[in-house]
Amino acid sequence: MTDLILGVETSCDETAAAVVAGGKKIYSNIIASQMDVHEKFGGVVPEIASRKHLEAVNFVIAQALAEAGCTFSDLAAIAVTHGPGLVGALLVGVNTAKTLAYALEKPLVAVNHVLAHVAANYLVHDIAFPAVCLVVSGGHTSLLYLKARGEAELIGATRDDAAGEAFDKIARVLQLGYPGGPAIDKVAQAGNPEAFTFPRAFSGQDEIFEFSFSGLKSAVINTIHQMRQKGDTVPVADVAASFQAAVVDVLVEKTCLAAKIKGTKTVLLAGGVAANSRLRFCLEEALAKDGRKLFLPPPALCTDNAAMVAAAGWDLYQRQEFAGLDLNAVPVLDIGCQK
Amino acid sequence: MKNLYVLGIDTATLVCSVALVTEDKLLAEYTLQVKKTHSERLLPLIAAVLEDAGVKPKELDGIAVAAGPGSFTGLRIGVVTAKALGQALELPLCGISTLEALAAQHPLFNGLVCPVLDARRGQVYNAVFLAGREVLRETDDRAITLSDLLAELSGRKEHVLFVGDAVKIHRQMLIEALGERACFVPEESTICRAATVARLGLLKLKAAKGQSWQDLVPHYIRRAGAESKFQAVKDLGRNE
Ligand SMILES: [Zn+2]
Repeated sequence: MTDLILGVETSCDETAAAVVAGGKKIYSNIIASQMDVHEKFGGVVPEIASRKHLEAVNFVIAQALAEAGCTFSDLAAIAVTHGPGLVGALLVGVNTAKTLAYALEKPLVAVNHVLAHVAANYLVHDIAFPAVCLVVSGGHTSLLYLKARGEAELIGATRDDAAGEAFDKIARVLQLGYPGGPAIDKVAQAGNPEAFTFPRAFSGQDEIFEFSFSGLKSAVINTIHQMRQKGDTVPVADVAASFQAAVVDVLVEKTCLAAKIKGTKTVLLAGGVAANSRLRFCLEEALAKDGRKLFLPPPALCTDNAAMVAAAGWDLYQRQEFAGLDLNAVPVLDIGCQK
Repeated sequence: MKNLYVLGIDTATLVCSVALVTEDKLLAEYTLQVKKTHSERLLPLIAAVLEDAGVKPKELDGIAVAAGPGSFTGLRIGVVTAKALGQALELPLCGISTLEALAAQHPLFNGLVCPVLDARRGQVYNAVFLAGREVLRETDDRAITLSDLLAELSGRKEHVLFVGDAVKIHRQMLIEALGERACFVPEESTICRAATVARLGLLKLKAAKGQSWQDLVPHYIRRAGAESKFQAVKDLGRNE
């Protein structure tokens, strides 16, 4: 019996397909990025993203099969991201995947994009459960408690902007380009993280695991505007480093606290912002103090890809949680919610 | 020679329609006009049409899809589904003009057939056809303001049959501009139907004018909003 899952991902600006065996071994992992198309607009334009996905998705799937050296008939199932994400973009992947599944008479599984990010870790590490996972990207900032593979419970999320969104916005104001995460990470290396004291929202007792980055974002933007108004040169590296330090402090503090309260030895990091060097370094160091261990995927598996979708899809496939032909895109999709 | 089985799909407007035809028969057609997303309805409808007609997906010879103009999201759902069927089953595809399919439903009208689909922003998607045994195209598919279209039509002498989802929005204006030359049929005769899309597709496929899943894309007519704004800004920059 085959254990090959075809993963399809179109939730934002990457059209991706991958073939993964047994939720672990990557046979192929193809990504057609639209980054350069959206770069000139300073962010993802939904209608353009949807059009690009439509043009690319079948080619990306064909290439994923070819590189894996298999055909449609070798597949055990097809996995697709059905949310959260941009609705028009998601619709392309969802309708493509379910039509393939119907025509090929293969089971279909519907994957939550946030849990797919978590599953990127399973492709490269053998994880001892239970664990806590911090998912940080342009679209999400979520803290999850993982009882076992594929069994996740949301313990905290952002109340306003995602961490990655704040990075994009500040990078734009500092004219560092898009996407903002890697750009800020790079210039911050030459800056002083203590040059400015930006607010860190640690919030009260009831919502200890909730994040909020909009206050920080406004404070940084105000500081930049004030300097510009006075005709001062903005010390870009220092602002970037201080802003990044504020974001990282909050992420590290809450993740460590979650691991402590939940009593897990293992902590996972996932999502595009997991590639941030300061976050990785500070989180690893803080966790090590308490004897906890940090795992994260390599950078190529942190950003959106379909291998992680196939890995998460494997868990659903094994539990036989199949989706129907009426599967729809769900732009706002909660953790642990299948429909 | 074996009968060709062609599946027709139309999701360009509020209507979600699927049909299966052969050379001389409409084997099955389901047409929904409900406020439910095409994404939830289309594939179950395809499965139902094929099952009720007793035809397996692998027995199909081609897929015809209304490729535009129409709602961007609607078109994408139809085209993406056609492309995936084409890829999985190795079938030829055929993109059919939504407007041509609408016009082809009225071959016996004596005059011009003028489909109008709501394009928002004060425009309609339209093309003008001359009815007859074969419906002849007089203009390309385009987005046009109603007043420009009426100015064009006022120079003609023929009766004009208006069909499409923008008729009910503009009916009064059409009557005022063209008087008794403006003709209408009941709404159920003016909606997009996949049977016509499939029939036009079958003719094209027989003439070896099919496309592969690699080539088929929607005919949006319009660029994405941000793109045209960006182009406008760029053009402005160039002129200065
Ligand atoms: Zn993501």
